[in-house]
Amino acid sequence: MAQRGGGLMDLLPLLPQALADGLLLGGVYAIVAVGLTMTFGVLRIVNFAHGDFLAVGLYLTYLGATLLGLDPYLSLVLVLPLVTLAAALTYKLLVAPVIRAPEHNQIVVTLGLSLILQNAMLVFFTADLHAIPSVLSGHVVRFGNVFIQAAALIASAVSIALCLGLYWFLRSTELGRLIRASAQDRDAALLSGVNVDRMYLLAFCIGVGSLGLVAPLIAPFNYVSPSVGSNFTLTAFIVVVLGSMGNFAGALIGGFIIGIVEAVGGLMTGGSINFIITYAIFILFLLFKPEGLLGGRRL
Amino acid sequence: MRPMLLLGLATALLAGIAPLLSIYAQHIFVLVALYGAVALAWNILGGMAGQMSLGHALFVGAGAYVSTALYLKFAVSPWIGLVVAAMLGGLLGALMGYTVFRRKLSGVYFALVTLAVAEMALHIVSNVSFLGAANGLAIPSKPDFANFQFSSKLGFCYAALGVLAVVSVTILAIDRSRLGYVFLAIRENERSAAALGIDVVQGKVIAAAISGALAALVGPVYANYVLFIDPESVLGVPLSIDALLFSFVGGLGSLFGPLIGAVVLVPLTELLRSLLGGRLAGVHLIVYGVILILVMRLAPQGLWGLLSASMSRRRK
Amino acid sequence: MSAPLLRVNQVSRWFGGLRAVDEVSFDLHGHEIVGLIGPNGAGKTTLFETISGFIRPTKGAVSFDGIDITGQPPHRLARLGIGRTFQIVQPFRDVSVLENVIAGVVGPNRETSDPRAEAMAVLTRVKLDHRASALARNLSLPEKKRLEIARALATRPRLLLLDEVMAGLTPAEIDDIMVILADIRRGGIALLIVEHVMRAIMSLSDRLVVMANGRKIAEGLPAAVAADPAVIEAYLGRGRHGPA
Repeated sequence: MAQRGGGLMDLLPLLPQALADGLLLGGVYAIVAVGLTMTFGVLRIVNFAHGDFLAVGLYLTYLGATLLGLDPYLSLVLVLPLVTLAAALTYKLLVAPVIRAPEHNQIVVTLGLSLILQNAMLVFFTADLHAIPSVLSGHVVRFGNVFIQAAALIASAVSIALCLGLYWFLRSTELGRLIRASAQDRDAALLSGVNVDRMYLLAFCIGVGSLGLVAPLIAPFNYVSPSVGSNFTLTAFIVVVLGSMGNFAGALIGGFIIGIVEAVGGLMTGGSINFIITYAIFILFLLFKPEGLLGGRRL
Repeated sequence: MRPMLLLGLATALLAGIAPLLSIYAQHIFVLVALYGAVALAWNILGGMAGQMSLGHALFVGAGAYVSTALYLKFAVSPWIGLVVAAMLGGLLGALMGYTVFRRKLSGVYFALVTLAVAEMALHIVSNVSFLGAANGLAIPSKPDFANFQFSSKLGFCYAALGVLAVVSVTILAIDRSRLGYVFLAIRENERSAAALGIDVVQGKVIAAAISGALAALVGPVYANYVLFIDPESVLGVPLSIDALLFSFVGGLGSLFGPLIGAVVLVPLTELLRSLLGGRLAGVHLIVYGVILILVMRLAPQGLWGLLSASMSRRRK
Repeated sequence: MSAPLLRVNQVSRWFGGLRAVDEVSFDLHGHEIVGLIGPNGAGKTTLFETISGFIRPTKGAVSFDGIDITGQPPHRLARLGIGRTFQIVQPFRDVSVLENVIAGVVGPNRETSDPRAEAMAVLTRVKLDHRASALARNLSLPEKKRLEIARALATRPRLLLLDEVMAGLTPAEIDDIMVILADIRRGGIALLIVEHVMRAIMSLSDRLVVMANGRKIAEGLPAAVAADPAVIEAYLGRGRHGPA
């Protein structure tokens, strides 16, 4: 933690490390935001429990480690399908019934889900922070004066790959085209014989299920606690707005920017000021550039 | 004239009952009145004007902190603090509203902004030692009318009832005036509203300002009742959720549904907390989550909707 | 002729490369009923939206009673005296018919001594007074259409823009609306009507303006316009949207 009171010059040598930390933090934000881009940016589904699925994934990974002795990179094989299943259930039971209802229905219903998930985890696992052991825990790679966790590097790489993959999927595959058609003009898609509900289900499962991939990847360098989700949810929404909604590249860029800003801000001011900066950026964007960094898309 | 008369009678009735209650019941009375006031204030913006706020704790917290800080640091009476609180709450509501609404952004953006600003305020206050930082501010017990501290709980019952009455009178006044129709039109169909001569952005900003000002009134009363405030208790997400929850459970579209929601849920929560406490602290929130979902799916009109539906069925 | 109440002057509206409305001009005078017709996709609705303030024209100007109203927001136009109905009627569902109309009375924010009485008077004019206490969501389609008209009337317009108000109605219901519209005109309100129901618009309108592909292709008395070869071509060439 940086000391207050030392001049900026004292902090300069610490900057490269902060930047590196920021890039990796940004990678995590980006990968969480990419899933939200799918559900909120493309499908326009408001899901306030998005981050909580990440927490669920983390706890499943934790259980995998403590009960089955599995390394996160191995339990990924279990966690991913389980989280995707949870996503499917959520869609069928909660989201689908209110998909055509006024927006506030989705907000309230997913808020309720968030409350349930977070507090169920609180009750089962208590508020204690847990670390999840992994073969790569504590493994650092060194670039000059900068130390980077190997696991974080992998997570970032996967983040970029996932972005590109989803972008390609939506743009270039038949299924992706159908999903986009269903989201853009539901009635026209229905008339063309598209099973819109199934497309939405698929896209939702991809968007939320991706968190089942993210969780084991960040487990080696992230503590797990019940409230880890809610912070990610709000930040992910901010990143999606920043990155111009529905734009995967935007989510990637936005995530990295927020990550760097938070890390560098944390360096300069200490404490929890870094969150304030993120929220301030969000409000500034809404004031001046609501269409986000890459613009274009209608809000 | 009748609704105002009914309100006056109800207030008098409650004022008459208060002295007859046990100390614990009076405590519940105060809580129900204060939470009910916050929920009613939330409903002006969320239910009447149709704009959902997820950060109403901001207004309560702002009111609580400004009044308490003025009292502790500058010896300003909380009675004045109440007025300042309302002004601050109104200003915050108007600013936040204007920022989002003038861009014609959808409701989700407003929800996100309110959440973000409330969180921002929580983090800022947690880092400002003048405001007690994360440890909060404690108010020394000096029962005196001028200090807004009463020697018995009964005094606080009346204070809370007073705030509740102010909020209720405002709601009735809105309902009977053009503003009520402005909110109705905005909530139902913004395009139609505009075609009828209604400035939609202005209407939403006014709703946010009134809602914020009234919610802020609760802050100082709560602060002087509990004699302690900290960021988590007056700026935290649970309080924002309460405002929303009571309104939905009680009846979003109605004027006083949120109060019904508070009457039902506050005692229930206290009961759950006393039964479960400690380790199972999160259980009441799980119950809240389930209730939210059930209400949205099965009874979107809330308890008020169920009540009025059964009454009209009986009339037929 | 006296100065026009509404002047549409070379109004254009482009969406990227698409010229939805291309340099359309016409005048409308007080107490007139002008019909705006044309095949689907002609740009009538877009023109309507620019006149009623919901869309800014890319080029051109609109003036009302001598005042330039180009790009003014809808609520300001309503306060100036331009009312409009919407093609897809959306009354305020969960309140009564009377409440819906009162919203129209108080919307423009002017002095009214008795909004309730004024609203009832409007409902009587559209023959909906017997349904005053009914919930708007329980109305039949023709009743909802009349409520839509009533709500716009309540704002005391001098010009009323009607967007396909007869769509989806039976011939008898159309006749009812026509009687109401004629009565409205007698009350001194000018009407600009977009309509596909030919017999209605032919008999109601004093003048017709015909659009096709975003441009005005004809203007004049109904009989003359109906015989205009360009107009016939526009309809037949695209597949005629037949008479009711």
